[in-house]
Amino acid sequence: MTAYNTRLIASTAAPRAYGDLLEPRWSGQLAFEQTAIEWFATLLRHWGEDKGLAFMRRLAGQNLKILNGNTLITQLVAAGEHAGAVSLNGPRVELHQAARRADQNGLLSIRRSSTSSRLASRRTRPIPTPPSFI
Amino acid sequence: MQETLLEEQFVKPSGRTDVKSAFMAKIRNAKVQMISVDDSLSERWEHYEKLFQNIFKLTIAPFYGAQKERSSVSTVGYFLFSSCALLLSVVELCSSGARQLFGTIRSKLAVLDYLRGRAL
Repeated sequence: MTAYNTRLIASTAAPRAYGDLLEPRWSGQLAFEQTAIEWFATLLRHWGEDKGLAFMRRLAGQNLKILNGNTLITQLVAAGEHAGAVSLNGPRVELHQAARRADQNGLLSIRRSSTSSRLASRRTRPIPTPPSFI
Repeated sequence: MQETLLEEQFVKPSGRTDVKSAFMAKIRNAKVQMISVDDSLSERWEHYEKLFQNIFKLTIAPFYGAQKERSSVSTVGYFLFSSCALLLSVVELCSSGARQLFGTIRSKLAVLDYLRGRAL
């Protein structure tokens, strides 16, 4: 899933689809996990290799901040070091949100992608996000 | 489920081939997808690994050093980007593979919970 820091990015300006991440305003703002191969493979299978590779090549030109570890990236996005992350491990983000909710100070908003898995891609409606996550 | 493990887990311990037959009947009725762990699975996974590294200009240290580990990593990789809901067994997991796998199982079970809720 894609994640962004709600202090840095207004909900109205948040990316709504993967294609939005290719906009110039995201250049240099996004963290990227250096072993996100399953995410990469999922999108290539979902879109087909031609469309998928075209997207990936343009994404690679967005001056991504490549890091190792979903926990680290989650923490850095929450701290405001990076405005967003291309793809994060969902449970990792939710654990972080749960810890933050305990402080009544939620920092992260999650956006489930309709293409994050083949199962998810079959949905006709997005998964409702509990209000406490936003 | 890795098909090759059936022999080790259900036939050799008991020595009874009928145990495997009964188990296989249950598996088929449950519509479990059987995965043959062979070179083609590894090659498909490595195809994506190479594309990923080329596009993002990354050099990732290989997770595996032996054929057995290569099969395990490929199986986990296949599961991660497939529509399978649950991976029943893998031969052996390196720690990074295990972390990825357990995180993904949680995600996929969450999706199943959601779908089940919708169905009810």
